[in-house]
Amino acid sequence: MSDLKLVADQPTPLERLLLDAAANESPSAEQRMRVRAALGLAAMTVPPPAVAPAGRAALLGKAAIGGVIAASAIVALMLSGALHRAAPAPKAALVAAPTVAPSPLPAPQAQLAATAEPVVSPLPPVEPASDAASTGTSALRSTAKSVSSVSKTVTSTPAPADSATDLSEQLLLIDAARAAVAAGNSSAASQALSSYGSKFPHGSFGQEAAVLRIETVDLQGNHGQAAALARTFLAQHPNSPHVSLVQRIADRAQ
Amino acid sequence: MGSILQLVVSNPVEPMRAEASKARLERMFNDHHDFIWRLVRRLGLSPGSADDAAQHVFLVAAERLSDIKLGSERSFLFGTALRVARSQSRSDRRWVLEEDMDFRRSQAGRPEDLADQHRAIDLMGRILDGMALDLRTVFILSELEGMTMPEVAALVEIPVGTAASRLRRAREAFRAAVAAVESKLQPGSKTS
Repeated sequence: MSDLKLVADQPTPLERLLLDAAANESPSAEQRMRVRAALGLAAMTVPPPAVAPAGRAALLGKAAIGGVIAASAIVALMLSGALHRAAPAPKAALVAAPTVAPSPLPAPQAQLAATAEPVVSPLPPVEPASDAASTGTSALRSTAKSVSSVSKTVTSTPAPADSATDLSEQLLLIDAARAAVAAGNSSAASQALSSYGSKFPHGSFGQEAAVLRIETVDLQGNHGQAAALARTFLAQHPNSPHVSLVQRIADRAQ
Repeated sequence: MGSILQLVVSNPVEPMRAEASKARLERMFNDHHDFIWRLVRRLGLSPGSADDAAQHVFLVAAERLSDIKLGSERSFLFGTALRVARSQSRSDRRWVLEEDMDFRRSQAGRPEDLADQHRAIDLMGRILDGMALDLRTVFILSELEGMTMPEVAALVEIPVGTAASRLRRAREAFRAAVAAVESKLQPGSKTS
């Protein structure tokens, strides 16, 4: 980021503070990895926790910052109250999760429906015979060849010592599952997802794993089951970035 | 996801083309992901929704990679991010208010510097919310992302003079909002 132009115009301390705070905010390492996983990009080593950015806020006197902010917080609270009065939000809507139709579900669907995000439930049993339906490329197949070994390697690894290691391992399994799905290898995908679900029941890539699971079931030729899982996913995650992909699977079986 | 990659690869798939697409996507991610995330954040989304929105933007880009002209990657991502943020902002506003309520309950327990940062970002968000979208967008790109006027104008697809005019009005709005806050901080001023 370049210099903030208002600074050159002799901003007040509060102006400078607000601009710095907004300019220095950044997404988490976990978020970056999540997007990379969704895009199918190679896993990156998670960097160690970032040192506080040497932004402009860091250059200001701590006491001055605290004083301004402590005071501004009071005003912020006031503003908050004003906003609440101006635009009351229905509190029930704030915390209520999307409701799912209470109809009985087939076992795997019920399993998914009962899984609170980002929990990933174990995969339903898979039939590896459907690999013949592969639509993947030779390149993707070659990528997927190491899926089993990767999966086994990661599964046999001791419990992660820190969150960076944890995220890298999660991403390895998600990458392995994705490569297998792309190669049409449903049994390898299933294996990787099962490892993920058992090793990381509250993993950071729960949605990605759930979508891969739906694709795996679809890949096995169980289109009706895949569509049911897809509909459940859509009910649970109506604003998911994966909605368009999952919607296509849900629509295909209708 | 796997299907996204397959779409990127296109059919019939050539390994070299697939690698080129992947490399292009990688560059787009490395060059623009954080910018897109900050953009949707400053357009009013909560951190969690900004995560989802940024991911959504890049999934759209992956699906339409072959339609994106070389050199227009940032423009495509920017336009998509504006649309995604607009579609999410209404429901997300409720999240912001809910988080405010949590903030009031928990502020005493936070480390001071982190709490300061959160409060500043919170207040900045409120001020930006008070700006019209066209002013806010130019303000974000210029003041927070450090873009030049020609860069801003090209990205927003408006004449440079229009961009400069919007920035001037946005700065006035920002300074007025901050001044209003500061006036309430003067000794003797009432805060309720």
